[in-house]
Amino acid sequence: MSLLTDVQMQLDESQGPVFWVIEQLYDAINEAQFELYTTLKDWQRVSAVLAVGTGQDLISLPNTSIMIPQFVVYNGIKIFPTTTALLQDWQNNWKNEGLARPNWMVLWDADHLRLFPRSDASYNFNVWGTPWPTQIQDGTHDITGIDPLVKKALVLRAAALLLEETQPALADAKVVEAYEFEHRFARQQRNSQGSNITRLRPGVAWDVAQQGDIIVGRQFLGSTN
Amino acid sequence: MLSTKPTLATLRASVRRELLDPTGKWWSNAELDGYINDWQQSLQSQFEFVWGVSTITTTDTSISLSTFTGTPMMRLDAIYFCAGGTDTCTSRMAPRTMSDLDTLQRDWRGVTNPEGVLPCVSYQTDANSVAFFPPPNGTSTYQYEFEYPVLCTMTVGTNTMQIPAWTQFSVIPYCLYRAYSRFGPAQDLRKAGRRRRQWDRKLSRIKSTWDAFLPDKAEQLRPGRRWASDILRTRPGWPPR
Repeated sequence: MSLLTDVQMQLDESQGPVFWVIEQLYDAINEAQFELYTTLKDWQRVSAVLAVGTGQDLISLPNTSIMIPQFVVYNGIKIFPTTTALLQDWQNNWKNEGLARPNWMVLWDADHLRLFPRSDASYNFNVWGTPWPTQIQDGTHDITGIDPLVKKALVLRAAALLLEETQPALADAKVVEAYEFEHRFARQQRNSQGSNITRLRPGVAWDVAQQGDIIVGRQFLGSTN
Repeated sequence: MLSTKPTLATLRASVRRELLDPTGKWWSNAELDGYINDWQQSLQSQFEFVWGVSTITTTDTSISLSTFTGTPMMRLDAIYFCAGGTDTCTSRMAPRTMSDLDTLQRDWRGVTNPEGVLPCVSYQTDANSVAFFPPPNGTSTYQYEFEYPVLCTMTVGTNTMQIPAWTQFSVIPYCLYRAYSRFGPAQDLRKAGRRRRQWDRKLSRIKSTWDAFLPDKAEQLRPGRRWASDILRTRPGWPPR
């Protein structure tokens, strides 16, 4: 099933839009995607080329392919992040520094980087970060390569947004359910790699850890132990 | 593509769908456009997502910000000084208050600067103007490069939003909160309260997303923190922080 049909099932509109126009469904799904992508910031990471020309001061980020830029690399070396304040502390006329291969960068605003010193030639840097979700704008678009738990959370978040106007209590319930799936996904991520090492330490919490999600279990049982 | 910034008309249509008022029976376009602009300006004011650069060439001793000819300015930030109007930026003017100047040079108000000593300090006599010290002699042309957070506005339906596209859906709870709380036949304070709480949650999410942008971002984008004090009181280079 696609995202759209999953959401329609939550709304009891599997036969097609009745109470919600189709654009509202697309909006809700896209909004839910934003919410999930900004919560699970590192579940996907991509890179894009940042082409820098000679003498350029402010550089536009490749923000059509990267939603949340996280670091910049040139030739395998990470460019140092710095601040305008530190440049200013270093030298009052830092803007007059001669051209060279940029070694530092400042996030100037949401769409631009300032590289320092200004570039002496053309370089291709790579920006890494979280990509944009695929826009859902018809019945054929779908989200792929995503964990089933995340997809379930996404559907519930979208349903909650749509039910907010007429069924607020149900919307709240859907959000709680979505959180539960997100926590399950977070637990799944936590248990991959490093945490398993802890489980293998004898006499620590190996047997307890095998029981699954201890904290969630306590909350469900209402126990304070 | 979700990275494409929507227009005012697209944002308004999304809000209308959620208000169940597609034909504008209860809320006019002008009212909703006002809320959408307020939404964008609230986010810009809080997070300063969009910055601009404007270069002013003048012989004046002060510049009125209300008649500023560059991109509309939300607040004053860095001013870089260039001599002669053709020079590249040489240095940042030190921002000082009038009290600082009183301490530095008691008779600073009487300085006329016939020698044409280059100005190196900027100060504000009030919120709408910025002046320079030592005062320009009134005949030499100087160039000032302003870098500042801009004032974001959308006036016609085809204007696109200026703040990042990933904030676009937070327009819905904000506008619905404002629309439902407005006195009139469609007022619904219960819905307004719920939408207000939804908007507050959106703000937290926007903050955490913005914090994840190149995590060691420039302090200038976190107003009110270390940035101002670093400029006003330069720390020694040693020991390192």
